Amino acid sequence: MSALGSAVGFGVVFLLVVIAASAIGCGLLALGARALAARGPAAERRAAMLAAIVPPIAGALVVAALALHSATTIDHCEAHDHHAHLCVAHGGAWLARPWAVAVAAAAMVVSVGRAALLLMTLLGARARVRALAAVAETIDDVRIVDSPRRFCFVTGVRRPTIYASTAALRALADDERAAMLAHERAHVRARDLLWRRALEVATLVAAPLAPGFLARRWDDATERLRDRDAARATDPAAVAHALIAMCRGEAAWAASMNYAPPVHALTRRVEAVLATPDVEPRAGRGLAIGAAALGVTVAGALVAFVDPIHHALETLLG
Amino acid sequence: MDILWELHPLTVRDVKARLGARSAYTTVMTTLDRLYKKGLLARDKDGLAFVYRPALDRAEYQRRVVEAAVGPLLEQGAGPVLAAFVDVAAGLSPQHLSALEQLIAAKRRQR
Repeated sequence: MSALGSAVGFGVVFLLVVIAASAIGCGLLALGARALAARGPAAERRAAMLAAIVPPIAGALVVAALALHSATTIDHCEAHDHHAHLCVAHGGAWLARPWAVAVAAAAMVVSVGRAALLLMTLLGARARVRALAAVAETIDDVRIVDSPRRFCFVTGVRRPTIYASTAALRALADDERAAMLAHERAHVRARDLLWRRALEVATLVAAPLAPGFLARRWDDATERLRDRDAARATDPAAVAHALIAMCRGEAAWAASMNYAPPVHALTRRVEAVLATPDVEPRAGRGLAIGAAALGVTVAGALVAFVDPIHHALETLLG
Repeated sequence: MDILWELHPLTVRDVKARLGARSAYTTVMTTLDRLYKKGLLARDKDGLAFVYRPALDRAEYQRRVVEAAVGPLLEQGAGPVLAAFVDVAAGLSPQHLSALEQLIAAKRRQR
């Protein structure tokens, strides 16, 4: 029972740190949106990924530091007995706190639910992609599907594959078709779907609304980044024309479905691709170095002040 | 389906004979019954046995497979499953698309 109680206590701390860090990360992303946009989609993308993966790492580090501290400080539990201990050996008192048990259980249910939903989405999609693969004709690295709908996408994590419809290929001029395929090949080279799935897993435990917010930011930035890659490989105007031609087909479909799409997404992509710089700014690297420096500082502070932090968290939560 | 597209109508026994030793009689019977219930096969009574024939030709079947697979995939949009060149959620009105084309033309003139 004591071990279960310790797991509840450390689980509550993990949750607290992850939710606080992801809320702060999303807040910083929203506040710094203009500054990030000025640095380009690579920086926006990296910022969204950092905001997704730093909170669980921070939570795990804090829990590890506290657990290690409680395990190595012999007189830890004797020093104060007025609250539940964040301790690997004497955590039974957490089970007597219904709110802590409820919070830990709710977090577990939400995370397992999100994981199950993700798994169902992936399995459903895999079955549909297999059905497409069975009827597709492969030419070079593109699987061509006979369909009246205009689409072109990459799918698959281990072996990313490009699928394009006959309607899409027919609707585009030669330079536009090359631009569209260059965009998709850039996704394949960068293994974007692997990173996207990592983001999804990293946000299984996160502040409410954070997973959707971060995924949208990352998706938007990634598409603009791949537009730029395609623009450099082909021609910015060809990429922009291809985007519009593809949307013309889908606009008819959206109208038939009574669907009112947001107006800004495509406009932003077209404007961004037309303003493609010759060389991508390396702002994203500065962001990663800054985040790493912040991480080292926080970890250092955690080690230096682990005792008062440990006691403060016990007093606050226990 | 491939066997029945090549030759029809066929009984369960005929289909099993063409599949060889790979499948049991009851497995073939259950599979054909399921395909009939899904509307992919039609069947008539011939004495005690059913004879099956395709309800759709191969092209129509492929069209339905693509339609059933593509719709849900595209409507998921960009996500952990696929990265689409354009999201269906990005569809705009023809007027807006024309305005964007004018923007591209203006940029081309500037260069």
